[in-house]
Amino acid sequence: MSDEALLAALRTDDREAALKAVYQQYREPCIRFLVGRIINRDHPNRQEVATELFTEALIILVQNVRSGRLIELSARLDTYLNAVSKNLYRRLLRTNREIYLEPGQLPEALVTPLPHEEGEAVRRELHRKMRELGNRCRQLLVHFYFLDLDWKTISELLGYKNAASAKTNKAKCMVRLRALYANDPAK
Amino acid sequence: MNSDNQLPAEILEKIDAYYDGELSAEEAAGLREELRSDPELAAAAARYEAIHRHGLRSTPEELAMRDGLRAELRELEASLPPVTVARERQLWPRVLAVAAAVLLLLVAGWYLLDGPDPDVRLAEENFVWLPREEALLGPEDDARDGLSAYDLQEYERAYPLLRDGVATGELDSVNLLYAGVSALAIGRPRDARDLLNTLLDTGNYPYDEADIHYYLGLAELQMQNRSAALRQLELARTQQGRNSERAGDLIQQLNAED
Repeated sequence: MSDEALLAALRTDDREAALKAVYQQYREPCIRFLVGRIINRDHPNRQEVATELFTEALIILVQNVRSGRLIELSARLDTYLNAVSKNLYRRLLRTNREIYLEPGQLPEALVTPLPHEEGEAVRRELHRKMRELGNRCRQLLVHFYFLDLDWKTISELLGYKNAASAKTNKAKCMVRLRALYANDPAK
Repeated sequence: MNSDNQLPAEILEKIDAYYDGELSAEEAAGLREELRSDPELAAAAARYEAIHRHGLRSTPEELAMRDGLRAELRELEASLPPVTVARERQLWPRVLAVAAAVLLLLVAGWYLLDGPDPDVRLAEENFVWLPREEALLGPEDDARDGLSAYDLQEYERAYPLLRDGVATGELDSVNLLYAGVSALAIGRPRDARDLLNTLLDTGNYPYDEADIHYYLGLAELQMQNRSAALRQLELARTQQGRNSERAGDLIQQLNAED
């Protein structure tokens, strides 16, 4: 099945079947890529770790597709799966754990945080604003904040000249997002 | 309610940097202190922080759903045959055989390469170093010399070290790609072609296939096999790779020469 067909299926009612189809289609190449290219040879249980990283990467991608944050892919689905898995492995190395664990907690709040309900209202509002942001900016923010990719990978996937250029553009997108958010008369 | 636009741009950027993990502990402490000293600023900051704490994060529902999805995929995984990951050492006899054949062919056909053929010139002009990215490969120090030499674009030194490193199993077989690039750089297109085809035949590196086709195209060009070169370059152009655009340009140049 083509990537486009798989993505479309992930958004429909037959999501579970689509998830399984993606898993079966990309499991082998992605695990081979991770074992052959990414995971250190001295890492214990390399193949199990690769399977776990692939599973987590798939879950992250699928949730972003289903939520409507990730509307289109700018590369093949396996390129995305490899990239997200690779970054999860980097995080795994930083945390020095043997298997993949959920991303860490949020950093400590700088000031007393808003009550939960207000925070959730901000989430809904921001979700709306992200749609008004334009495709280029939305893609940048989703790739960075939701797919948790590094700047070099983002620049390659989204066609920026280099990591620095992608990062500079993300800063501009944040300015734009802030402006949209601050000028919302409904707020 | 305070609006985020009451926050100076400098504070907004610092809050972004804090949540992007780019603010040092000292800078974060300074920012906290600055916000604490001004209640209006702190209230506006709380609202802006909520963008990072709630808006730019997966929802609690999504996080909660992950356990269910994991269980579902684990069940599926258990029902599938295990993935076979090729052992790199198995390539050794093939590489040896290829190297011997290549040597014979090279001696016999060497004179063919010694000319100012326009295709050879184009192949040389379009040769670029292929960065290794950050692949984590074999741990042995001797073999690492080959990787270092390759990273420094010292191809004469890199080529035998990489080729032999793969042959002895000290290096992952993906290094046949960099050995092939090095062989091409030092004017050994047949070696390059055979090494790259060996790698391609494993089927284990779909991620690198476009790059492999690009350098195969250059190797064919160096050997003045234009139609074979065009076939390889077309594959490099249509697959996703670091040199796909370059392959497209080269195809155009070759067609323009006709």
